[in-house]
Amino acid sequence: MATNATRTPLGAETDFVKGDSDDLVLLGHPMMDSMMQMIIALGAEIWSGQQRARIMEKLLATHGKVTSEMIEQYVPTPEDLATWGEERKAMARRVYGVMARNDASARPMGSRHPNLDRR
Amino acid sequence: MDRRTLFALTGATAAATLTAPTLGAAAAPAAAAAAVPKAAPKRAASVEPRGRIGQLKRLPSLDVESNQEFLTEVRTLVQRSPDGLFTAAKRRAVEVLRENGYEPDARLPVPRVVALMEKDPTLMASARAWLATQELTWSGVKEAFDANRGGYLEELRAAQSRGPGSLELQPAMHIPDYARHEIHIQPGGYVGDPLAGYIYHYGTNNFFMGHNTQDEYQVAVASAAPLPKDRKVRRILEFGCSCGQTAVALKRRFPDAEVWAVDVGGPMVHYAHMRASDLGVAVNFRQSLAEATDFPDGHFDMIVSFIVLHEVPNAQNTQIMKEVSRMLRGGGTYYPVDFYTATSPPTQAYGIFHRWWDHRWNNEPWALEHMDYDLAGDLASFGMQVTRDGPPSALGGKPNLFAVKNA
Repeated sequence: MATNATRTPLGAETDFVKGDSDDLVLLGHPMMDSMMQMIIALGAEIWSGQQRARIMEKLLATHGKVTSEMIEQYVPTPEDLATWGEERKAMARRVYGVMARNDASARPMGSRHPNLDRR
Repeated sequence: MDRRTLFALTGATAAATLTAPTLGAAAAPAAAAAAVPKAAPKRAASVEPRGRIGQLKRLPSLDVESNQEFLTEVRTLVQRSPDGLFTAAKRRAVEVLRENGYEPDARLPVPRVVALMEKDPTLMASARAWLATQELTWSGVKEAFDANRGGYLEELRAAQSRGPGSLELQPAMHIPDYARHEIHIQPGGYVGDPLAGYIYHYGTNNFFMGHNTQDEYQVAVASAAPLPKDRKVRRILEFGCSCGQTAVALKRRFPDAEVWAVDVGGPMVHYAHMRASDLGVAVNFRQSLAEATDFPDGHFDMIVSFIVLHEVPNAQNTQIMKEVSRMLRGGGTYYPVDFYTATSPPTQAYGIFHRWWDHRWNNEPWALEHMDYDLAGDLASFGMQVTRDGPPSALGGKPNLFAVKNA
């Protein structure tokens, strides 16, 4: 049974089992895995830029001027949070929704053109 | 920069700061103390530059905050949406089973399930999308807090002896092997980075997908915890308290009770105490193993745990249940909320695949064996009366197990 007995303190670099998920390959080649991560990271970066622009526009409309400090300190209203939440959801769906398409309807590249079936 | 690189950059100071200067341990080993910079930590910037939303201190910059919110959105789409990638993966899992001659409800051993699923691109894409959000979340919050590491360490140190509530750290405590890993692939885990509490708190905002910023799940657990029949509640314990959200909610529900909370992670209880103190809520936090707490026999009227049992090997859980029974007074209640306290372990292939995935790649080493853990049996064997139709938990809204110590 483990106890609260005193021993050498645990350090981050000693006697510690680090995660190994950085090395995980799921999509056939490490580059493909990296691409998926890059695409999701890029989406987050783009959203962050858009969010800054939204706040900037709002501050300009209400104060006629804007500073970095004003942007950082802007406290969203409940209406902001609701609107931004919907816009964020819509963007995520626009960009990543395609990932969930149904495999069952997938057609191979060499498949026959459907119009030819009408002859 | 990937998660491991970030960890390596900050790890050198972590071992030292976890001990002497940060936590005030007089007896820290000389080697660790020698590694500590002699100069006071640089106060790079305010640790609260952007105020709060509700009770959540905002992340230190708009870009980090927006980035995290978007990652949570992607995770929610992938994982929860009816037309998301997990739904597609679940559908595909049925097809994979049929293609290999199995019925969708076939009960297969874990290695066979993994062998079938790991060949399918849709299932692997769902896993990769999830993993990407997890890794990006951790690296984002860690980078944000490390950027002002000195400031946050100083904030922790300043709060250490502040009330309300109290903090007991054991910087030289032996951390058992079962807790020495990067749980949930959090860089540094709960015990290897002095800023683990910050990283965990903001990282789990992503995990809980909209139910964590105002402690929504934890408040629900605290609200549901059943009282003893005589309704006398003088002392309450939460074990495996992480950053203290449930303990704070318990104190708010029972303002006249003495609330204690323990966790193996010193950085976790350190952050938990600071946060509770900031919120003006008097909780007593102690770094301790749940299976060896040192509290007197019959000390508590209520004990609560929230999603900790699956993080512990079954053998240690048995020891913890023995300790729970020892600490409860006759008629006292234990309310555990975990994976299988309201539902049963998965039996179908896709569910088993997920449990295996979580165990292996989300670094939850004990989650797989937890599927076989006989919680009710252990509680009964230690003198507890167990019922499965207790108040619904926060996870799923179904009746939840709870136990009462025999008089």
